[in-house]
Amino acid sequence: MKKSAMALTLALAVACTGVGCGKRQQRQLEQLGVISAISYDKGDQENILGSVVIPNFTETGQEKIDVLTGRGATSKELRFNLSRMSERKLVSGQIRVVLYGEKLAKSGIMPYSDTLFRDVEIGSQIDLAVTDGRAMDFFTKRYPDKPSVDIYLYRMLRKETEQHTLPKTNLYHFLHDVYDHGRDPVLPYLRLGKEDVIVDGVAVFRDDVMVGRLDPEETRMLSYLQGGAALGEVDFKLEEKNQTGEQVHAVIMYMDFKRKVDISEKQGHPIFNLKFAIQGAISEYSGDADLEQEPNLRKLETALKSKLERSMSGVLRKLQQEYRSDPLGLMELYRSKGFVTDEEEPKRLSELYSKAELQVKVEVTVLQTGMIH
Amino acid sequence: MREAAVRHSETPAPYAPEHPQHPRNRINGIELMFLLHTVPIGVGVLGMVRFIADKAGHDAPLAVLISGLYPQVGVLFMWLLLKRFRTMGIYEIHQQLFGRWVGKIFNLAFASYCLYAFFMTLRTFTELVNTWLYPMMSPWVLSLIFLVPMIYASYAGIQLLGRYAIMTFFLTSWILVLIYFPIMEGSSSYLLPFGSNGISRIFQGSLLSALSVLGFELLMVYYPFVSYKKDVLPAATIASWSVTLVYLINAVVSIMFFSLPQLSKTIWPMLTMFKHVQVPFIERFETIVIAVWILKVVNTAGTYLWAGVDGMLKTIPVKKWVLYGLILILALVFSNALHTRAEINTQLNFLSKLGLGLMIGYPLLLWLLSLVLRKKGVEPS
Repeated sequence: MKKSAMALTLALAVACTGVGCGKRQQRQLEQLGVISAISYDKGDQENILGSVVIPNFTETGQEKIDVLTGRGATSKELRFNLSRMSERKLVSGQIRVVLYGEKLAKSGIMPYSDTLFRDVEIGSQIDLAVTDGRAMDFFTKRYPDKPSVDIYLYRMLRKETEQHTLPKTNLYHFLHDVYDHGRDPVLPYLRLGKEDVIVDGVAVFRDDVMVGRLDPEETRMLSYLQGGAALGEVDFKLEEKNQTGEQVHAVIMYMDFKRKVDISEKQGHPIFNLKFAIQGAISEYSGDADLEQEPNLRKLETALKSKLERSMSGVLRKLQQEYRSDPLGLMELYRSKGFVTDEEEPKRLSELYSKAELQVKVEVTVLQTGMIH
Repeated sequence: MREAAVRHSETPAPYAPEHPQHPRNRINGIELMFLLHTVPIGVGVLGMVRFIADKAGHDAPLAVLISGLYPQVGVLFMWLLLKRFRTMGIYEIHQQLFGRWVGKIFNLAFASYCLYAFFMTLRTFTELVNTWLYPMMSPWVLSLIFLVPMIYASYAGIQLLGRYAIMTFFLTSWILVLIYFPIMEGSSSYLLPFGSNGISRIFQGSLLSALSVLGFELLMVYYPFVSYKKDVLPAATIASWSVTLVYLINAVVSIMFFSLPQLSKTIWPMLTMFKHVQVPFIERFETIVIAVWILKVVNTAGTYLWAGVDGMLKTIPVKKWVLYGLILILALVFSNALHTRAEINTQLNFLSKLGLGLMIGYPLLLWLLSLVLRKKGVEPS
């Protein structure tokens, strides 16, 4: 009896405190400015320029979204300054897309992204991208036939990643690779078209500093180099000419894509042998050769093979020598084979990477030629 | 009429609710096993991989595997000690070994340690809820809300705690399924090469997981309440290795999911991992995990609270409800007094060292002392 009375008293006490608790925050949806996309640009001196996209739930405005633009020294100060322009309280729990202007990206984006992973409100699967020119222009521009810009960008980046035309890049992957000594991140690179946004390859980073970019064709190669791309198409220009004297094109669709990395060491130089086994189907061919004939098919396979090898190692060389960036995580693989210990890891990995010898071998097998031969 | 009278006289004499022979104060081997398994898995596991990886690097899973030896060794020493004193628990052993008054001091010290561990569990979890869910809520309000089920469970005694532990286990084991998502993102190359960091660093790393294996020292408090003393050693052994298995899975997945420098910056790697879980109908799964984790924390803290109160009651003449009231007030006061991350971290470091000593060194010491002093438990009459 006494026990239950005490339990009841305690429960009542808790209930009372819960109701009367002082700092209660009203969080009705109409009173919240739910930020869905945010952009950062380099401003004057130490400041950054930022703008946010807020979907309109209320019926007061004509536009589907609100775009606010302001400046501040830190990302949260920026939010504070932006908040003074809005009748709503700005919250960042629903951020889906973050854009960085190219200028800002080239000076390192970590100082402005700290809040993205310190703040528990923000999810880890949001999409990041670097833009050609000022990022805020992407929000202020109108896209007549598209959904509002936040949803547009978000869906587009997701789709591109799913189709392996972009390597996997979200906040989690970015942070993981920035911190990792044996790996560098890439982010999608966006360009403004006439009435739309175009994914124009990727921006390549060394740690958190953008050092260059790859065009869409090279980006595809990068995506294949990273392995695991089971779907995707690639277009080849072949040496042969057809009857009308035009160059022959072939498009191969991957059905199975395997990557194997052999790692060895010679006199302190890492040696990487990347082997790819591709099984695919021809989905377009403008030549005259009969593809049901074994020799013709072999010829085509060899042509595809050498073309792929050339462009893949071209991308690799560009990354290694020009950008000195390692988005494939090759040095992480090198470390995992036990060539470098944990203590000396950070200092030596980047130095070793620049001395590494990279070789690409591709095996192509054409399984089908489509409905015709 | 006569038969009925005889039958009545045959039923055992009713015990007072506080008496160890009272049915509410008995636990069987299964309940003991689940108690020992679930109590160590509290708040510590959420952040443990970070500390281990700081020292052991990519070999953190190996370090965790080695740290499985600590509870096992501790259990062995405790078993040696407890076996020598027959049905006695740590509080009775103190008095038998050191005499009445010195024994009382030791009793109070051990009980205070249990209450300290109880309080730190409560406070760390409050901090976590503060960080992840309710940044504005003051710690004492959260503490009060969590204290109600903790005190309620521990007031009811050991049998309820044992059964509650079984329930906690089954209600939280589904969380294991969620590791599918981080594993899909992770890369197995981070686990290699095995043992490259050298034995000394792996060993240091394993010591840092001490905070998460605390809970086995309570075996010395449970012991007088266990019905069949033969069950104790197998139950404790199964519990200790199953705890290690859970931690091993956690360590492997964390190392695969994070890059090392990123891991060393993350305070609660396990929650950050669950943050990555996204299913079509729910994003931000960690919120649900934290809510479910309250079950575990109530289990851990409630059991520690019970162990501390049990010791206090056996040592000083005080009413049970007065003691609980006092603890409630003190817990509220202290939870507001201790409020920065840095302070909490210092306290936790101290607690983990103290606890590891109490789990392994202390039973060994007592056992050796009892050999030297030629003291042992007497057969109950």
